[in-house]
This record gives sequence, C-alpha cells and structure tokens, in this order.
Amino acid sequence: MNRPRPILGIGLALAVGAFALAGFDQFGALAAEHEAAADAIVASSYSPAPKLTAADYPTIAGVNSRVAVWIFAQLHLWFAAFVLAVPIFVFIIEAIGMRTRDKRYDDMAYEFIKVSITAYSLTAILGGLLLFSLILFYPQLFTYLSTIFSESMFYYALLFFAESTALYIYYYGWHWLQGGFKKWVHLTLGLVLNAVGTTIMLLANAWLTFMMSPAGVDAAGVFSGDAWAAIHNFLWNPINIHRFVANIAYGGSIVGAYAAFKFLTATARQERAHYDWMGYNANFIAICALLPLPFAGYYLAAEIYAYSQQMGITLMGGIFAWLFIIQAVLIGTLFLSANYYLWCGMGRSDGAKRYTKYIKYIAIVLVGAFLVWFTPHTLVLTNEELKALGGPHHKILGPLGIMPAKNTAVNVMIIFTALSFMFYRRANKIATVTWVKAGNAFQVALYTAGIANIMFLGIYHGYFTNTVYKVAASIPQVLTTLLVIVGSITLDSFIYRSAKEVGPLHWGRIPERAQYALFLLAVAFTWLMGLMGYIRSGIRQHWHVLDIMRDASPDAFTPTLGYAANVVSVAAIIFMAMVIFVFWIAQVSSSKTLPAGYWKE
Amino acid sequence: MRQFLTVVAFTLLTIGFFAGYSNYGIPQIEPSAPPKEEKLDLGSMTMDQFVVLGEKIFNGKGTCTLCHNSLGRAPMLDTIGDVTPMRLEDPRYEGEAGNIAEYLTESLVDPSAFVVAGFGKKGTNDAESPMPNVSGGGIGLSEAEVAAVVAYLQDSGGTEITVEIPTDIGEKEAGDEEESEPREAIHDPKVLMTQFTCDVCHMVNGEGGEVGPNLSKIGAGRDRAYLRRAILDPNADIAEGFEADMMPEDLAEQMYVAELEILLDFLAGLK
Amino acid sequence: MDTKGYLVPFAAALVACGAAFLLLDMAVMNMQGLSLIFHK
Repeated sequence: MNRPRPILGIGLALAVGAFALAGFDQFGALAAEHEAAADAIVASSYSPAPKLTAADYPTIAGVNSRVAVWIFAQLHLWFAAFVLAVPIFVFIIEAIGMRTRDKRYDDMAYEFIKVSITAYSLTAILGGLLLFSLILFYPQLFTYLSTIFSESMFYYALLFFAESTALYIYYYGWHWLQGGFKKWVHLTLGLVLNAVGTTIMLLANAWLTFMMSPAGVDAAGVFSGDAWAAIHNFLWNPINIHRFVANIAYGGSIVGAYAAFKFLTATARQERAHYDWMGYNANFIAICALLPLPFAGYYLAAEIYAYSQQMGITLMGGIFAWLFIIQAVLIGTLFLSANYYLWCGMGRSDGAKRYTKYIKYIAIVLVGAFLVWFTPHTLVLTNEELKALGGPHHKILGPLGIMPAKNTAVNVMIIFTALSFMFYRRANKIATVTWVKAGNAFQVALYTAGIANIMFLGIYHGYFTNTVYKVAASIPQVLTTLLVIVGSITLDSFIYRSAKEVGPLHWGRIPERAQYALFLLAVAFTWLMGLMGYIRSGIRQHWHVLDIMRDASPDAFTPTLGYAANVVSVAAIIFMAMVIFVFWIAQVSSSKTLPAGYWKE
Repeated sequence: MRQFLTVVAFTLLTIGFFAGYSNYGIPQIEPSAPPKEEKLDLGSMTMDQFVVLGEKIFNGKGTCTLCHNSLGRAPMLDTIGDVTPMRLEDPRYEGEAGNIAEYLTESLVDPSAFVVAGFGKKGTNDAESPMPNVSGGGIGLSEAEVAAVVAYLQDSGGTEITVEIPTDIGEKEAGDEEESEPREAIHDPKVLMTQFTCDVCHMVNGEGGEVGPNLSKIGAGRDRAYLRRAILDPNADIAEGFEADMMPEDLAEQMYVAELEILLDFLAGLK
Repeated sequence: MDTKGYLVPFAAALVACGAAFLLLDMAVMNMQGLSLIFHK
C-alpha cells in the first residue's frame, strides 16, 4: 500500500463528525425522553435553585475560597487554551508539509506537539483542582449545576479517554506513521484529536455560559429537563466562537515564546535559523487569529448586551468600563509587538530596503490608533476637577472615548497590521507580471478607499446620528476591513505570480530584541486572557446563576480593579513558572548524560 | 542561564507594569455592595412620601437611570402624562391597560406590551423591548416598590397621581424567613437611617429627601431629649415650615432600644 | 510617479473601490432597517 488513501482518511473524519453529531442528537433524544417522563410525573423531580446564606459556604482556614477557585479556574483555562490550540495549527502545518513534501514542516509540527505534551496532564490536574475546590467551597452551586448538566458532565469525563487515546497515538506514533497511507491515518488522528478537544471545550463552555444566560430553567431555577436547551443557551455560541479563535492566537504566542527562548540560547547557526523560522511561523499563526479576534469579542459583547441590557451597560458603561481601558492597553501592546516583530523580521530579506521607509508611517498610525482606543470617555473626578473641566468628559478628547472612535481605531489597527504583513511578504519578491504598476496602484487605491470608508462610517455615523445608527455602522466597518485584507491578499497573489526571489531568506538574521517582542506577545496575551476571564465571571456580580441563584457568600462583592489585576498577575506568574517547567521537560527528554564509570561493564 | 534570568526578569517587569497600571493608572472605584432586601413601612406613609420613595428607587435600586437618560437608549419619561393616552390608542399597543397608572405598571413588568418606535431590540422591528421585567431577579422590585415608581413617574410626568399606596409589602418571600427569629440588631447609624427610611424624607450631608427638616446640623440646635421625642412622638414638636402627621409614629415599636440610642448618638453628633 | 502607468489606474481604482464600499455600506445599513444617511 504505497498510494495514499485519502478516501479512508476523509471517511474516518466523517465518521468522527457523525459520531459527534449523533452524540448531540442523543442529547436531543434523551432530553425529549426526559421531558416526556417529566410531564408524566408532573414536573416535581427538579427543585428550584437554593436560596443560600453566608453560613452555607464551607471555609478552610487561611484559604480565600473565591481566590482559590479563581486562580485554579484561570490556570486551567490558560493550559486548556494552549492544548486546544496546538493541535489546530499542528494539523494545518502537518497538512502543509504533506502537500509541499517539505520535511521541515513535519518536523516543526512534531516539535510543537512535543513541547506541549506535558501541558495536557497539567491541564487535567488543574481541572481536577478546580473541580475539587468548587465542590469544597460551593457545594450547593455545584449540586445545582450538576443536576442540570449531569449527562454532559458524564460525557465530558468519557471524552477524556478519547482525547488521551488520540493524543498518545498521534504523538508517540509520529515517526511510525510516516509515508503514504500511514501519513493519512496520522493526519486523521490529528483531526480526531481536534474534534474531541473542541467538543470538550463546547461542553465546558455550556456550563459557564449557563451561569450567565440561563436557559432551560424557569424563573425560580426549576430545570425543565431539556439538557440541550440548557447547553445551547444564549451566550453559548458567542463564547464558543470567541474562545476558538482566541485559543489559536494564544497558542501561537506561547510557542512563539518557546521559539524565541530557544533562539536566544542557540549556539549553532543552523539552530538559530531553525528557531527563527519557528518564531516567524508562530507569530504568523498568532497574527492570523489576532486579526478576526476583535470582531469575535465585539460579537460576544453585543450578544451579552442583547441578552441583558443591564449586564451589557454594566460591562461597558458601568463599573467594569475602566477594565476595558486596561484591555485597550493590552491589545495595543499585542498589536504593536506583533508588528514590531514583523518589521524586525524584514531584515531577513535583502529586498526589504524598498519597504523600510514606509514602516515609520505604519508605526505612527498604529500608535495613534492605540492612543484613541485607550482614551476613556467618562472621567472619575473630584468636585474641583469637575468644575475646572466643566463636566465629566474632556471637551476635546472625550468624544474619542465613545464606541465609534474605538471601532474606527481597531479597524485601522487591523488594516495596518495586514499592511505590515503584506510588506513583509513582498520584501523578498520581485514581480514579473507586466501590469505590476497598475496592480500596485490598485492596492494603494483599495487601502485608501477602505480606510476612508472606515473613517466616514466612524465619524459621520459616530457623531452625527443616533445610537442605533452608531452601533449599526460598525458592521460595514468590519466588512470593509475584511474586504480590504482579503482583496489585497488575493490581488498580491496575482501580482506575484511566478515572481522572482530577491535571494534566499537569511533565517537567523534578526536582532535579539525582536525575540523580546515575542515574549511580550505571550505575556501580554496571558495577562489579557486573565483580565477577560475576570470580566466574564465578574459581570454576574452577586449571582451564581444570573437572576436565578444568588451568591450569598462573604465574597460576593465585586472587588476593585486593582485587586482583580493583582490576582490575575499572581496567577500569571504561577502560570509562567509552570510553562517554563513544560518547556524544560520537553528539552530534558532529549538530553542524555553518559555517567562514566557508573554502570557495571 | 543568563538568558533565562533575563527573560524571567522581562516577564516579571511586564506583568508588574500591567498590575501597576491597573492599580495606579486607573481610578480605583469601589463597586457597591450586593443589594440587601429593604423593608418598607407603608402603613403610615403619605402620598408625598410614597412619591419620594418611588424617586429613590428610580435613581437607585431600580437602575432606571442607566437607560432612561439623555443618551438616547430609552424613551425620556418627563412627558409620560401627555403621551400615554396616544400610546393606548396606538394599533401596536398589545397590553391590557386602560389608564395611565395601569399603563405605567404594565410598562415596568411587561415592557414589550408596547415598544416606543425606534427603541425595540435590534431585529425585532420594535416588537420586543430590551427593558427587563423590573420585578424579576436582576432588579427585583416588589409590588409596592413598583407602585412607588409609578407614583413618582405620574408626579414627575406631569399628571395626576392615581396609584394607591399598597397596604402590604407584597414581597414574594416576605414573612417566610423573618418571622421565625427576631431580626438582628443594626449597629451602623447610616444603615439605621436607610432601614427605617429616614433618608427618604430627611437630608443628611447632601443625601436624602426634602420632605422633612434637614438633619445635617441637627445636633447643634437640638438636645438629645428633643431628638428622642422627635422619633418616638413625632407630632410633639413640629419644626417651623413643616406639617404635622408626616412622620411615621410607630418607630418606637420597630426599633430596638439599643438602635434608638445609636441613632440618637449619631444625630446628636451632627453639628 | 509616471502618470499613465500609475496615476490613471490609481484614480480609476479609487473611484471603483469607493463606489463599491459605499454600496456595501448602503446594503448593510438597509439590511439592518436603516438608511445610509441619517434623517431625524
């Protein structure tokens, strides 16, 4: 059997897909059965959500239960995001390797999986810690949730068998399942690993989104018996989409940090070149996912707003509003470091000089957009300051604080990042088509028209219309950005058809400070995820399950931003230490010591 | 090893920057504590007091001003007296109200019965309102509180107040837990002022109502005996410019002796 | 900056892209039940 059998591979994938769908169908069937049974018994099998008092929350001396659950949950989330992301891009890289028959891709894919293997068990350990702390500190909440989600929790646990099986064969069998049909089997295993991992995430997402937008229960919290209704509650899919995309960006940034460190400690030129290449690919993955991410986040916030206007306004106009200024700082950091890494990387090509003169303009625009994004609207002032300023908003800068300005800024940042990337790709190419001048003219026109349209939508609809128009105009803004990016990439692929290479890329020829841009990307991403995790959970304020089960614990109060930031920071430091452990283990597993004279002859 | 330590230092510095910015670069707003259930004493309230209570709920627990303000998220309520009759006649009206009071009550507990044009949830063609049912979990106004808000809206909306002050509290859980044990004593004078609705009518240091005398400097002008009499027998002394029979007369039955003394200490200290 | 080879295609593309984006704006705003230009 030396010819690949793609049909079998596809067939396996379809089977997995069908299994997954059947699994969900089972939910529907089970739920329907349950409902019928419940009707027969006259809906007395489920109790309303319990009304708790402070005494119902067990404590352990010296442990703040809220902080414990918070830190375990966040650590678990960071690792879970990582181990879900890696198989996604490993799958893609392996497929690219199979297509191009370039072994470097296969080796890099293997290295990514190898680096992350320890992370899987850490994810599981942290999940266990989270589970234990929930049961210990919030027993009634956990009982209530597990009554509703009993089936999905059971399947969730079983899915780990499938995940481990797929992962271990995938990883340990990497060098065995090589060539021809075996390679297709291996790729399919990668697909199965992704499918199982994604299903696991979807189930867990159902539990936490239920707490925010409960469904399948009545106003008193009595479960209707319909598990599927509880699972696909209002915020389930927005969270699914946002987490799926964000995981990819996050995973890319973490392996980028790994590559950056290996680059800095590499001794041989070959090694440096290899890790430089890896770092570039990781950064590329992170940017690809980073570009659509603000839209996924905006969609999530819009759906939160649609579900509960109160929750939405508290999120962005109430006490959580300042959190989004911190978020702006972090996202600005992400965009600036990703771009900076790209600009430094242009030095790998001898042809980059043609584009370096434009970089400073991109930098100016990015910094400007970042400043707009990070300008607050309503300022917290003392009475004297209020009098001096003449109101709670700054006369000139205040208008930059509202959403239309923010949307305009982020769309501009995304377009200019895509532009940086275009320059990077063009740096090493010389076009050979006859119409290159016209093609370039079109590119410039496309960007110009797109940016002008974004500014028009942001300024006109943002400041000269009403709220409904302001919000509605953000959609064509987003679409403009997407069209400019897709259009320019497509056009460039035609302009550079059969293009000449300026020269071979000098992998490894990049300043050391560029590696710190990769570290910054990973650290900022981690901290940002921690902050967003706090917002998502904290927006429920004094509710365990929004409007249904009140949080009566002593820690029900919403903490100050500084406090939340400190908890996130401590958790981030713990996480970084664990990640260093993960990378170290990957290294240690391939080192050998030859102890002279230790073993018997 | 040196590289490793540099990277660790860089990481810690970055995290430190974000933490530092969040602590010192951003105003540290103390979010308000989770809301407690308030007890209302309706038996001896006048309509004026009831309207003031409605206003307090409107600006506070009801969270109405989050949306009903000049930013345009929700209709303005100052002309509610004039527009309601037109709304009741509107073909899109789906509710069962027959007069202004019923309409306002309905708008609070079933906002989608009529959605003012342009304010509906996006995509529903003004069929669904983004406003929550205020008696539901998130805001949780009792029937009496809803009535108070309606009274306030009628009063501020330029129309006659036609709601009645309910005689019982109407809270869903009222009586279940409270009756079995004696209520816990309150030690904080400010909480006492809220609990016994003193601040509905009296102002202290800029906060409170204006139905009764301003108490911000009451300790300077009145002695303790006067203050005690004012609470236990309100009609014994009527302050100049104010009317009799406005203040509740059964505070003596409601407060613990210790709470009365704590309150008197506090009032005597307001100089 | 040669006129024929660059400026003419640039101008043409600018007009075309501009028109296309405006059409996009109108279409998307209409889908949300609004017009492109705000009328009180």
